[in-house]
Amino acid sequence: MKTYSFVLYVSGRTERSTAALADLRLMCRTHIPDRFEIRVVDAAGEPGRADEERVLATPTVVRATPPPARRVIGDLSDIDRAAAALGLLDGREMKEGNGET
Amino acid sequence: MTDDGPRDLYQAMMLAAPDGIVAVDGDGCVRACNPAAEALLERTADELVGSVFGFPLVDGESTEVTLVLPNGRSKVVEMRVTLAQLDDRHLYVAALRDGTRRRQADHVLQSALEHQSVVVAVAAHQLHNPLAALGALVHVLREPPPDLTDERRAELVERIAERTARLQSLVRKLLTAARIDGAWQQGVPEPVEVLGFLLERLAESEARGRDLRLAVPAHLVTRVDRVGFAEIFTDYLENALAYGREPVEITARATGGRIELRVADHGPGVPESFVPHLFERYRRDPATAAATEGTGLGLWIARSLARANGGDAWYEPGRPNGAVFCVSLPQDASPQGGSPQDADNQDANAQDANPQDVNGA
Repeated sequence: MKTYSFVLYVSGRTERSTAALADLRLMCRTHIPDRFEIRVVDAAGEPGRADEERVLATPTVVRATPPPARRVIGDLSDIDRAAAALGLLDGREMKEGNGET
Repeated sequence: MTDDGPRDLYQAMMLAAPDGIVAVDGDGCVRACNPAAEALLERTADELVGSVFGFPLVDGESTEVTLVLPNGRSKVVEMRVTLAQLDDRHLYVAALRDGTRRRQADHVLQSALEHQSVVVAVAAHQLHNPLAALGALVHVLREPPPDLTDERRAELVERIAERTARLQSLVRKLLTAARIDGAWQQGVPEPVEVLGFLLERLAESEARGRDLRLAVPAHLVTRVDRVGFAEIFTDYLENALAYGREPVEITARATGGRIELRVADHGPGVPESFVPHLFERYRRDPATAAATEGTGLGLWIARSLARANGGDAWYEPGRPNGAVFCVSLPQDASPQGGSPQDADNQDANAQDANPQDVNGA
């Protein structure tokens, strides 16, 4: 069983940052329970880390492992759509940008 | 219609769009961006195209994201996402809109609404008590007790007149405050001969029978909005008569291209701890607030109007006691306003002038 590793880039301890982490956790528990780890990087506190990863905006989720690398940016509250964009729904692809998988 | 092809139109729209446009493919890789996106992200198109922006997700119409800018800076923008198709490929178009100006406008609007609520509440509070007292006095006159003497009736009428005058003064202050808040266009500055102007104001004021002394040189001319100047002087005079003790001395002089008007009383003066707050809106000295009716608007109005006229208003303690409220205003530079040489002469004249007792003006 693959374990997924994600890095969540946020900007400061804001309501939006907290919501992004909660959404990401819910997505992982729903789609890959017990097979995930999440690291949070504050781009405001560690601008060098965000720069290395060439993060252009937050919140951004980077799927670090396993390959292929994927990243999403913006609102994660539609966890099925976020999961699809991060390649968690095997064999199913995003269609027409409407969230269907 | 146009002969331009779709690709040219697409490029023209991208160039002209005020929003930052970032078009990404299904992997979140930037395929195109416009100049507004370059400006927002503070990176060139060469840097952006081919880099991974991320697959853009929004819930509903839009979502806020924070742009990570060079040198550790950031900017919050609103992101909208639409699906486009180019050469059989899906493109996800993220439109980034700088929300800074909108948030600033929202903040200004919110502050204005809160301020308006405070203004209405203070006005209602200030008007309520005098109106209630007025109503009670009128009720006594409408249904007089059998033993109401002519003398008592005259006294009641006098109290009604006094309270009506206070209400008129209060309403005048509230209207002036609203005028300042609304940045209404103030009157055009014009030459005003100070001595004649002050005598007119005294004749119109409720200061009849009070001990007022005026020492103002003749031919001293300021250049101000007359309505604003009248308001400043009236507020200072009312303040001196309400909180100070007579005699009230009104002096003016020319100094350094300005005229300086001072209204001094012989009361207890202003406690040192309250002096820094004297000209703040709605601030009243707790030591006198309970005993004396007031709005906390008069001195704030005086300073606002003085500054709007290119001058200033301030307080100085009296010597040996009392309060001195001062205002400086531009001296009129036209021939009738006098030259700086004349100003020095006026200054000397003012010092030589004996105060005129205007009791009963």
